[in-house]
Formats: sequence, C-alpha cells, structure tokens
Amino acid sequence: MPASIAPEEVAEVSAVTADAWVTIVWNDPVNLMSWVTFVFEEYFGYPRSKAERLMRQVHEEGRAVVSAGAREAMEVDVQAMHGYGLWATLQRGGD
Amino acid sequence: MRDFRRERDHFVARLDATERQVVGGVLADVAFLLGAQAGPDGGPLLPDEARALRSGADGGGAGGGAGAPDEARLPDWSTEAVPVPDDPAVRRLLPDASPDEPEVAAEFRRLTEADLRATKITRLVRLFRAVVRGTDGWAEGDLVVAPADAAEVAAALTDVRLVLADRLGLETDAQVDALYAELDGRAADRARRWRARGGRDRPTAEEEAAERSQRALGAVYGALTWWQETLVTLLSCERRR
Repeated sequence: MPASIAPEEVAEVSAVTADAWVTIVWNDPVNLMSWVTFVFEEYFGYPRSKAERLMRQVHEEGRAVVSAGAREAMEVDVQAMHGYGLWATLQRGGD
Repeated sequence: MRDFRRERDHFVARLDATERQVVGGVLADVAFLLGAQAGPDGGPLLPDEARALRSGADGGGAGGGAGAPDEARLPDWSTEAVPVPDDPAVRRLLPDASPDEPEVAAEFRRLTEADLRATKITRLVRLFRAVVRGTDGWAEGDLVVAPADAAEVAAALTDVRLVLADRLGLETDAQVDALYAELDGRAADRARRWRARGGRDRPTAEEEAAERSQRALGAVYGALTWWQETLVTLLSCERRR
C-alpha cells in the first residue's frame, strides 16, 4: 500500500477486491489547485470537502489515490484525468 | 487582457489585438504539436474537418471509393503499438498511464491516445477560433464562453500552459514560484544570475535574445495562469450554486 494514502483512503481501497486497481493523480507545478479541485468534483462527483482534501494530498504529498475499481474502469478514469490535463496513472491496488 | 466575468449569462473576458494574436498563436501551436492539420488559411483544422478534407481528396470529391470515408470514422482496432511521443511536452499531454509497467502503459496508449489527441485538438481549435474571430453580437475583443463550455476552455488553457511550462523548463513548484517572482519585477535577481554565470556583466547578443524570448514566454505563461484562474473561479461558483 503506498505510504501516501490517507487512512480513510486505505479503508476505501481495502474494501474492494484484491485484484482491484487504483487511479493515482500526481503533483505537477502547472495545474492550479482550483482546477484540480474542480476536476475531482466535476468528474468523480466528490463533495467539495473531499475534492479539496485529495487536491491538498496531491499537492503536499506528491500524489493521491482518487479512485479504485476494475482495471477497465481505472483506464477510463485515467483517460479522463489526462483529458483534463492532470498527470494520472493506474496500478494494482494490492501492490 | 481582462479577467473572466459574468455578463449576460456568459463568462466573458477581453483581449486586445496583440493579445488575441499571441493567445491565438500559442493555441494553434499546441494544436499543431498534437497533430492538427493546417487549413487553407493556415489555421488548425478540427479533426472532423481534416478527415473530410482527406476523404474528399482521396475520393476525388465524388462520394469516394468503396467506403473510404466511413472507414476513417471507425474506431481504430489496430493491435499495433502506438509509439511514445518524442517531444516531452506532447508526452506530458499524453502521459504514460503506468510508471513501472510498460505493457500497461502501452495497452493504454493503444486504446486511448487517438481519442485524447482528437479531444484536445478539438478544444484548442474551438478556443483558437473564438479568440481570433470573436462572437457575433458581442464587442470586438470579447471572448465569450457559455458556462457549459467553460470546462473545455479551462482544459485547453491547461494544455497550453503545460506545453509552455515544458518549454520554460518549469518542473518544480519552486521554479514556478521563481518565475512569478521574476514577473513581479525582480530585475536585480536576474542581474545576479547573469553575473553568477561566468562573471560577465554583459550577456552576448544571442544570450540577450534567448533571455528576451524566454521572458516573453514566461509572461504569456503567467498571464494565461491568472486568466485560467479567473475562469475556474467562476466555473466552480456556478457548479456549486
């Protein structure tokens, strides 16, 4: 489990099956904090507080797990993040 | 350049003639970088327009031969690997989806890259045209964005800023902070840097030209950052209402 995952994220990620994958968004110096928060609200439908917490985690810790699920679903999420200009990757959640 | 404001139920910013040229120029450049084709007037074409032009040329304009135009619209089921872009700026717009599993990254690129390129080019070209041509019923220089299109505009501005940041060598938050400090007019800082580099007080003509062009690029980056922030602020307020 990546060290940067917040306790509540660990609970969310562990709740899915062992072969689940996760989408990770990485920090970059270009994306605005307001834009990253907006993307998390708009695309994932997260409430503003969760979107802001994830944004801050990306900014301060360098990365954050933003979603978990089947590989195909994570590929869709990563593609969407790339569409918004965020730097995202997918990996097996159990790693 | 004026910030985005709410006017007549739209998000409206203002650009003077020089700004329209500069902003239009970088939008077109990034579209071309992603593979947009140039139209007869030299401006970038939307992917659909480029396809229509190609199939028109192939089929001699008479309906085309055996389904060629339709073929172009089908998704690409090819199993051939799509190469990783050479240009680091393009690679940032179309990044690897896995840092340590090349086969995951390759599979993702094969499935998604053409789509992503088309999405990004479409947004950039639409914004390019809005900037250069303006909007009927609005004053010259007004950039008018419908709230429903604002996220696309902000995303296009993100792509442009990502490319400019690559060209400026901005890789860390600290480097970006330094750019803003410089834009804030810390010329003394710049002079110190010149001296630190070889003890010369006067840079050569080439160095001066390079420095000037980097400074201009930095100024465009700074302006677009501020501009995007004003748009995203409006957009977020709109969505949370």
